Amino acid sequence: MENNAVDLIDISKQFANSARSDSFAVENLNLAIAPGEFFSLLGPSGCGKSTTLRMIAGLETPTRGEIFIYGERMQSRPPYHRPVNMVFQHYALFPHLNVLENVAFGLEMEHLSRSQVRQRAMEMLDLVKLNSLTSRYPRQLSGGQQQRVALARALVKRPRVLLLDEPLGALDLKLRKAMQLELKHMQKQLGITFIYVTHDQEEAMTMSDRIGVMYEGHLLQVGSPFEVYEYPATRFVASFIGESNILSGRVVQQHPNVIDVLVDEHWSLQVSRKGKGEPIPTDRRVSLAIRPEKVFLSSVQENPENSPCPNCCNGTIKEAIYLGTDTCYLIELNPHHQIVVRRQNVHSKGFHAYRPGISVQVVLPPESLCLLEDRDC
Amino acid sequence: MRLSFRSLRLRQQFDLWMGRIGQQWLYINAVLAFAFLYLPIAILIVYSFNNSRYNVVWRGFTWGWYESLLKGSDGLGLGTQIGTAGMGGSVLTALQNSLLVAGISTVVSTIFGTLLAIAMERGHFRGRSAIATLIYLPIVMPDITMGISLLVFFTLCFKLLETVTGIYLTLGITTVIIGHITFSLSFVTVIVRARLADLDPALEEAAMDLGANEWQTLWGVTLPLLWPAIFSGALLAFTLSLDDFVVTFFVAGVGSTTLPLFVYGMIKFSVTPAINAISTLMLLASMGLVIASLASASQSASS
Ligand SMILES: Nc1ncnc2c1ncn2[C@@H]1O[C@H](COP(=O)(O)OP(=O)(O)OP(=O)(O)O)[C@@H](O)[C@H]1O
Ligand SMILES: [Mg+2]
Repeated sequence: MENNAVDLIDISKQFANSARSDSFAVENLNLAIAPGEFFSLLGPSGCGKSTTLRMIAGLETPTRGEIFIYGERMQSRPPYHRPVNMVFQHYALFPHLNVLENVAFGLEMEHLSRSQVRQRAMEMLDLVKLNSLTSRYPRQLSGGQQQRVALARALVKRPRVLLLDEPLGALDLKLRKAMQLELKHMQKQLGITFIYVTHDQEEAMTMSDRIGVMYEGHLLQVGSPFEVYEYPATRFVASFIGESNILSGRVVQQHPNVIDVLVDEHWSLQVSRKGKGEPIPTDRRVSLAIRPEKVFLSSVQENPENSPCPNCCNGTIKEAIYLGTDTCYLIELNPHHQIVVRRQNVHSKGFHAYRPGISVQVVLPPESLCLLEDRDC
Repeated sequence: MRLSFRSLRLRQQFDLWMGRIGQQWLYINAVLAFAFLYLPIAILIVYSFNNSRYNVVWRGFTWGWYESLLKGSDGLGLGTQIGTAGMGGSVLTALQNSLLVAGISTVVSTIFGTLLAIAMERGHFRGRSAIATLIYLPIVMPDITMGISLLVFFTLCFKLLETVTGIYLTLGITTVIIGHITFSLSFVTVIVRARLADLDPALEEAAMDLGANEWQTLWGVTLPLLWPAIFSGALLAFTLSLDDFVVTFFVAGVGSTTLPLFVYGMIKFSVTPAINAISTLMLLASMGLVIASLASASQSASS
């Protein structure tokens, strides 16, 4: 445990004043974050991301469970004695202090000499490229500049772990993208552990070493962006991160490498068995998830009827939506099932290869299908 | 009232007409309200420059009443006309008393009111909501009730003190100050608390996160952001104290006559424009303070 930057051990948080007394903002959450890692907590609004972050910072007390930071127990330790700092969602810059004073605030609490405080604050302002605005007040800064001040104010404390609560939430898309790369770069350069809260899956994918997906107070899955995208653990993860087509069915037969799943009692699909996953009992109800870009699509004519084709199905294009890089097709397989398929627009004139109304053949490759056990989420 | 209309056009005509009348009435109403509020005050100010003992007839412009107020009873000319009240010297004493009472009660009520507001807004203790309700009571309580209850309270305390220790105390400037603190405290608390409730709690959390303990957070973040509200509360307390008549009337003793009590005393002798002059000065002072207080409050709201 000493090797981890942050350990959350079975923590739960229940707010005393919350409407339902039995509802937890965070419940039985276990998480270990390695030093120097860029870890993102990702989830929809109200799932308990901020609450988790605030418990690490010491701004909320867990109802149950323990928090360790670099092996030290944080129980009942006030925020001002924890080796972490936070970048607040709306920055929380001190309106009565100018940029330099805001950044110096934390250093002045450390009994440093006046010149040391100034020097370190100026260094940090150089790093975030704000050295020309030191005497401005927060209300005289743009959103992006305020964001940098908030970052500098936290980083100047040289925290071992930096907590960021949707720090880019208030910025426009372009600035956001630029700041994402900058933050990531800064994190690698400084070697500080970042715990980053966001509800934007693209942002989490871009920046993180690992992502923890939260839903209704629970941590559903932790993994690298690749793992979380390619092998979602639950239906919620599959649909929250990227897009997924989800089909419900039941397991009918198990082979060494594949599992047969019957969807809607008449459509049999083969699914590759992945990794070491424990066997799923026959007849168990399951969901199958497949990414829109992983579905193969071809004209019916191209594929002679006689060739054996597992996981094939005929359908009709209902809609074709041109999205620039991709075209998105909505395909009706039968009256109960529609799936979404994405095709990259490789040829400049090929993007409307399939027009609405055309019959197509759809292939769901066994290795691209994810088998998910039906749980609550 | 329900009117039925045969045609839509008639209805539109009617609405237009009613709208116009409504506009006119609003305007007239506003003019009348302002006249009602400010005409007596305007007359008061005008007659404070009247070169006559009597308020009713205009005999020309003079600064005499103001001069005689400042010079004291031995003033020449008009001063001798006021002479009967024997005021001069004592108007300055009354002013001194007023400023002393206002000054001390403002400082004390501002300090304790601010602390109370912080305790109510940020503290977690039992009976918080009860205190929050009780703090409004002195604001809505009739002055006369407050004055009487304070008088009864002080008399009781003095009695007890006398029987227990033999020390004999009477009403005086101290009781006036205490009385003023009791009503000012509520106003300061309410004003500071309103500002505190608007303050983003993340600011204090950020301070703590950056290594400031509770005390450093209070001095470094909370109080600096509250200054405008505290100042505004203090100005209001000062104004209320300067203007108060009823409570002071009950708890003042010999030698603790404040300006409003003094003016009341003067009226008993004779109604001269000197009273108008004093009232005008008090009005100007109060207005200045209230405007400063409002400006300070609006500055705090905008920052
Ligand atoms: N101080 C509080 N008192 C009562 N309930 C709270 C409090 N703070 C948060 N909650 C509840 O806890 C749950 C989780 O809140 P939290 O702020 O952690 O969500 P979040 O994931 O950060 O959402 P968002 O993305 O909208 O910021 C919510 O249901 C919220 O209503
Ligand atoms: Mg949040």
